[in-house]
Amino acid sequence: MSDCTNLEMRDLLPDLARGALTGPSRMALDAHLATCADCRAELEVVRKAHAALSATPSVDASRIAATVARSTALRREATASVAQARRRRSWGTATPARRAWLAAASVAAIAAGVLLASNLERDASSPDIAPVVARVDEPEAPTPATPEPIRAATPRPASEVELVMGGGVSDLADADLESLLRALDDVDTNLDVEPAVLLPVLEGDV
Amino acid sequence: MSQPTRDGEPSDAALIARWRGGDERAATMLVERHAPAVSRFVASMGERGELEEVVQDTFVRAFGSLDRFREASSLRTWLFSIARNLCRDRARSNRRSPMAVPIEETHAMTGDDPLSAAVATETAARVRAAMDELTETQRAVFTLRVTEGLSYREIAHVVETTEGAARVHYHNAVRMVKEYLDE
Repeated sequence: MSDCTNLEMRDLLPDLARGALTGPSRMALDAHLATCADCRAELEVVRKAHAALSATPSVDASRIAATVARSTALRREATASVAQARRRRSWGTATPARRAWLAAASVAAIAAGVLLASNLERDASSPDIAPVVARVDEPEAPTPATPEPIRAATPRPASEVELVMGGGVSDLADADLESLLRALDDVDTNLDVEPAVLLPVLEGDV
Repeated sequence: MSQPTRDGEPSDAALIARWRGGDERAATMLVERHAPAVSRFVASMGERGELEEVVQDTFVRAFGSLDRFREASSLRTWLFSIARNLCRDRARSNRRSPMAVPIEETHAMTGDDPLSAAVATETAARVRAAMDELTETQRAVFTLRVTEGLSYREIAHVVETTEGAARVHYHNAVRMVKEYLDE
């Protein structure tokens, strides 16, 4: 058996088999079928296929809907939990390494503030006490501290951030503070060791 | 993307909006509206023993990502896409013929006349056997065109091909089924 070359009419056969063809299209196809044996044969095949495949298997839509509802509720609950966890991320869910960094930075800032206050109280003119220098940029062993300016005048990229504290964190310029915060954010993903680099500073070995 | 509303029923778009607003009844209405078509399609793709599980997974997946549904196609077309992917995954993992279905499980439409019923059952079995000779894509295209009445454009979206390629798949499928039934 050959195929009719009138694709436009052949494409309408499934619609006719489903009883979904009306109007001018139906009239045109009826006229075509009256003269085309190939399309009549194809229509018979399509009708048989439609009859065989169109019966609807029984499924429990209510049960499926209930499962969907449970799944949706669980997903929404999980999404809410994740959002809440992200809000607490700055401390409560920080990694141990990040937590250690934050603690160390806080302690260093407090120590520096205390030292500065002590200096000011004792003798503002005493030049013997070097400023406390804390480097938070490199995981390698700290290099001996060298006297540096009290703080940088211009902001530097987070990867090069260097916290120099002659006073306290509150004395940092906004740009330096931004650099510090960015560096601390990077710690979360980049650091997988304890911040030993700060220990000499905290222990007064600098 | 809206399905035509019948008897004043809300459209798919309206139900999706209600569901996004937390109305779980809207999800139930969508499932009840589309489950029959999805189950027909899944059955035609050869999944019978675990048909309801596949249909259920289709809806769970669909609602799981409904927030990202951009309505570029109809919801029903999107459901067919998900169902087809599930059927393919299961066919791959099970490594079995997707049409290996006991004939007595077929749900052919039969009349009251026992002889007609027997003929219809026999014809249905032969059609299904013919479908077994088709490729997975041909089977999907043929089913969606003949049973669900989707346009070639919609079918192309489901089987991830072009409209022209979908038409070719359909006509090849018709020819193969016809030849099988003529044997």
